[in-house]
Amino acid sequence: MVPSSDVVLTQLRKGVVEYCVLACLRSGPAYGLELAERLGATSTLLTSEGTLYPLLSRLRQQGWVTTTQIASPMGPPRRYYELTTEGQAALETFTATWSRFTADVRTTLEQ
Amino acid sequence: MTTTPAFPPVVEAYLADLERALAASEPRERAETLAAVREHAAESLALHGSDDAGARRVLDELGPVDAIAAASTPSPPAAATPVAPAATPAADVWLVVLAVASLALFVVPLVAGAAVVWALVRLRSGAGNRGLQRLALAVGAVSFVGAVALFVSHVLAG
Repeated sequence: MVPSSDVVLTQLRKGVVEYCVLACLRSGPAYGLELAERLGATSTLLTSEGTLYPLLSRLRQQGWVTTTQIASPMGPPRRYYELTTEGQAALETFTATWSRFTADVRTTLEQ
Repeated sequence: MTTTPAFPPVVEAYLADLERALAASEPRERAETLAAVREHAAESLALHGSDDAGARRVLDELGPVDAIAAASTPSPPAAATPVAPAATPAADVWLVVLAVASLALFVVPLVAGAAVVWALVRLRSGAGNRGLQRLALAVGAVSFVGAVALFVSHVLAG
């Protein structure tokens, strides 16, 4: 059976998207909607914006991000997510590994 | 606790569906996800408007509740309570003691008979240690047969 592109994407997102979220926080804290926009509404990284929130909860429980509630000019207070030192270190490890991994994948696919 | 404004009915229905869809998710992740999605909806509605079109757009961007539930961590199964091995009932221990005593007192078949009857009653009840009950039955039966044989040989010799 040939997998659909959705199935392939679901597999590829596992273990990758959380680091993309961390990367989006490198430039500074962001609230949920802002973070979803940074990730790109039309990108393949998220199935939908709602799927970002279970992931953010796991990152917070891992200690890779912290949350702070800050008053919003519109609506309820915003929950800002901020990268921790540990999250920054995890992102650096991933980035270094990812570069090697993608280079190997590309080399293999283009053979 | 974060307070969020009243939502259009379609958004409230979506949030109720999401709460149900996350029922089997890890509790803390579930609570944080629900709170964050509520905040996202409030923020997004303020941006796009709370009319039907705005609400539809917000829900489309949030995506199906099943997709959010699929992205969450399942709740860990409750730890199974270890089943302690059943203690041997004192009655079965005494039953074996009686059966062994009936061997020593085989000249008094009443003791062996009592051991056999008691062992049968315990076995039929289905409770207790069946191994000890069978042992007591066997010892009691041997003792009883020995007593009867002794009695018969005594009568024949007399």
